[in-house]
Amino acid sequence: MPSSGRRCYKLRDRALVILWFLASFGLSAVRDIGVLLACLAALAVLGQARRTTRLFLKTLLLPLGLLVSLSFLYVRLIQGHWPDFMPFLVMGLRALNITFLSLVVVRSVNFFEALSPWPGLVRLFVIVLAQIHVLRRLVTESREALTVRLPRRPEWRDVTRSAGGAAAAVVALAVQNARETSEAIRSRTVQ
Amino acid sequence: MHVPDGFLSPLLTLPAYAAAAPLWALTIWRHFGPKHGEKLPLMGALAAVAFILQTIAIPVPGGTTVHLLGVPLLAIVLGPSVAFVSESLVLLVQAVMLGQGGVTTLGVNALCMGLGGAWASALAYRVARRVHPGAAPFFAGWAGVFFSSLFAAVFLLAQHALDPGYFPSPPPAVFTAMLVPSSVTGLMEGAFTVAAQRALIRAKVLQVA
Repeated sequence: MPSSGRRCYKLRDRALVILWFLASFGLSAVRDIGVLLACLAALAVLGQARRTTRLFLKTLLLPLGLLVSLSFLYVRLIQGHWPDFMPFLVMGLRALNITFLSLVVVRSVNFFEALSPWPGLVRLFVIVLAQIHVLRRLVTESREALTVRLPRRPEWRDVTRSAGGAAAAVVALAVQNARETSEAIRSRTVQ
Repeated sequence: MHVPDGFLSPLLTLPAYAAAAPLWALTIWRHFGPKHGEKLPLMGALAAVAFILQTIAIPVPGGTTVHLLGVPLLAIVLGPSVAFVSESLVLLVQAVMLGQGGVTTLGVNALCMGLGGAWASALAYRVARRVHPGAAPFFAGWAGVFFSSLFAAVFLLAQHALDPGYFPSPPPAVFTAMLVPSSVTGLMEGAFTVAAQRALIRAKVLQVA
């Protein structure tokens, strides 16, 4: 990619990150349910919600819906009478809007370009992301290993007993992997 | 423990950012420069462990979630200042990748879990080490989780006091829903911190018990 084109992308990414921050704070001040519903509809259209439906349902709608509903029921339990549902609904919609906006922006922004003025942070960001990937695989593999090793279905006692050893192995491996990743990044960059 | 976006108004989130920003700048300048390159892998690895631990979050009715933190381990191994920045990075990754926590509440969450939790863990560790060195990581773990929840509850209560229509959960609901489960997850965090610290010593990553 020509350097002017790349610079243009960097500027675009930084501008999008700044706009995202401003829009998020703007949305967090909104209290009107109509405005929030309109924003959510606009985001669904602009952010091509169909492509992110699974992610939207899994990470946003279900946990947030559960959180707001639990809050509503718990307040009923504490106060002894049903509270007004509207503030809970507005609060849930605000949270949905801002988080959905974040997911839409993340899909179209290169954070490494946006963070490029701080190479130390970029390196740390890369290491963290790489380690998250490695750790997820390690956790899945140790869970599968436990299932395979036992002739019966693992009970909570088996899971707890193996959790300490698995956690220890995971931490030690993560540090080792992070060292290798860091060396690899350092050997490829000036930093 | 993560306060989600939309639960706190800019009246609280903007001052929290204003309070956190100079601390981030100071810590990054002091601990994340080219001279500290050799520390980055350990920071990255422990931040990733914290990320994985925090992914398993249980929603609680008062307004947020409870989960293990990983911050006490960071605070013990790397110090509370570095733990603050590493945890802030974890929170940023969670906010942008998983929709957990949020961008507007990043300052609040960083102050509660990163700063408050890390310093509570570090102080508890220092005090408990004089009494019983073996149990010190356990107390650090418990204190980190409990005080992080307490600080998050204070922010939510401040929002309720400022505008009950914005955040409708009343103080008794917030306090009981956040502090009771946190006292229990604190025990789990303590056990994890003990196991992880032992693992790091066995792997010769940490030299002192």
